[in-house]
Amino acid sequence: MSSSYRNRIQEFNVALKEEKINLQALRELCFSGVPFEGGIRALCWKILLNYLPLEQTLWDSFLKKQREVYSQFLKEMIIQPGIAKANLGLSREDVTLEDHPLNPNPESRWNNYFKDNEVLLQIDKDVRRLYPDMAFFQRPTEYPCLLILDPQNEYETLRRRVEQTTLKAQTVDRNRSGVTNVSSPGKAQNLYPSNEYEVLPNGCEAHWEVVERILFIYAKLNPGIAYVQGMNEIVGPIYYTFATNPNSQWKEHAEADTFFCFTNLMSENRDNFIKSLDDSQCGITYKMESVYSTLKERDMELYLKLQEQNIKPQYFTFRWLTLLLSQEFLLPDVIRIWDTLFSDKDRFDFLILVCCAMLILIRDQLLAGDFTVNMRLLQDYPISDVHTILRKAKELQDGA
Amino acid sequence: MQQEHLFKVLVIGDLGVGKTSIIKRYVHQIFSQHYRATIGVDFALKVLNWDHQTVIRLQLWDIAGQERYGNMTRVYYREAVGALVVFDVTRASTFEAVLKWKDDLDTKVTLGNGRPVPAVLLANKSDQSREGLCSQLPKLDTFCRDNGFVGWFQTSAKENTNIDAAARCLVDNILANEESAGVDSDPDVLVLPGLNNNTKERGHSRCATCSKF
Repeated sequence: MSSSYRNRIQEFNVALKEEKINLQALRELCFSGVPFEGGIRALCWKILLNYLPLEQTLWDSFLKKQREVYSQFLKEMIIQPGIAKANLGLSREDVTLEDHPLNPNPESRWNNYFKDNEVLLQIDKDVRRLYPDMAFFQRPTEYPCLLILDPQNEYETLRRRVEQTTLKAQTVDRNRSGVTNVSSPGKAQNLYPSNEYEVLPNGCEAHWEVVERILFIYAKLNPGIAYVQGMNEIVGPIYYTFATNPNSQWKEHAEADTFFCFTNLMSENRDNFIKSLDDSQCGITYKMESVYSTLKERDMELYLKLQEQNIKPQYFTFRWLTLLLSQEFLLPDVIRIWDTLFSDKDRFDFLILVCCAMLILIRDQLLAGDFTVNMRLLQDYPISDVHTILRKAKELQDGA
Repeated sequence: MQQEHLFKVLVIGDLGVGKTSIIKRYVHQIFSQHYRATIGVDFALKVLNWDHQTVIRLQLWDIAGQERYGNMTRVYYREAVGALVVFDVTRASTFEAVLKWKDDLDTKVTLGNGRPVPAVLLANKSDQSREGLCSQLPKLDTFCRDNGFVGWFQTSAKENTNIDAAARCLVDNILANEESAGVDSDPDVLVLPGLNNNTKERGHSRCATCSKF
């Protein structure tokens, strides 16, 4: 470790020891990247994302409270419905004349249960393929959720629920073809082809299963937005940062802390995910266009080239902006970019400049390329050194 | 005289039916169980040496499957001349969505002559199909006739089954449309004589260079 890097860590340690954190000073420090050592990054993100209060003395009690709140969510939204479902086979007390699985009433608990299953299956498809190029999300967590995995609990876990729902779909198929052979639930696992749906043994859970739970709880608590593809790519880097925290006291609570930080981040970013806002001032279309209007101010020639080739901002900035660039770079680089984005007071104005910087840095290639070449450059961005990109974005911000 | 065609082809269908896998197999001859969810749109190019006289460049537009992305499709569909509509034979709901996708396509893009763009139906993941949906597949002939698909194929990106055939079928239909419409009426495709000055986009970039002072 170089002495300048040691000094930098020291600067962070000093800033984070203040009884009341000086947010402005911390933002300035974080803008140029946050050290991972000692859990500094995980702590800074919690502050920058407005999760932790600035008064250090409040942290312990605050975190204790939030983690209890999260446990309560798990109980209400996963465990209790799971118990109700498991009991169905025994007592059938949930099946009454008023409410039963075929009840079409939107108030019906059963109706909700089936709707939730649709959301759960969508989440499930996406979290299994989160960062497929790295092993982390497939590995078991050191801290499986004890509440969920308690062997005393005989209830339907999310894992079981996904299996059951997939199974049901198959039973229907068979019925339609006139074959009345109903598969036994015990075979559920064999239904999945090859290793597409490999799961860890009971008592273990993979990191992707934790991410799945976070997204499911978020969808339940925010029914107006529920789950939109891409949210998994926003949770991923936050969860990774918290779940690899060298400070194990914090690491243990990665799930609850990620949930709240994700919720806070989404409160600033969620309009991008809402279809009905697409064409409003706060929606994604406006942001995509501001990448082009900013580019127009900074590099007219390049702007005109993209216009002339009819390369619409929708063709690439949609993904860049909604996912905060998380699919464009390797995870460590994404995390480095997020250090800077999270430290931006005017949250995500800087992201527009980063997108512009990315375009300007490959201007020579873009000016020489045809439509196909350029679309591939933009879809598979060629520069991997994010420091160059961030430096260029900062230049643009400073009006250089 | 060699001809070069540039065709924009859409790949649409519900989330998780294997659109990305089909394109990766077709273009790069690879398969993985784990492609990240497509957000917005992905883009790929396949060059076909169709016959001695014809080179075809297929621009494949891989469109995100979730309903949320519906507003974007109008921009993504523009100037397309063909589509592959994909469903997953192991999930009935993805077949039920096929008509919704076809309808979305037909309301947002048409050929120069006002006719719908040719669409081929892909019954994907055939390597995993169980008796259930498979026994229904013969009925797809009628389904395609009734709903304006030019054909259907049982495909597997994993085992590389029928993907080339499905694309060939689509290209045949696109070419037939070209011929019947006459070369000039479709602004999306230029057929130029000679080997060297071929596609529209190259023409464009040359113009840009010229107009640069």
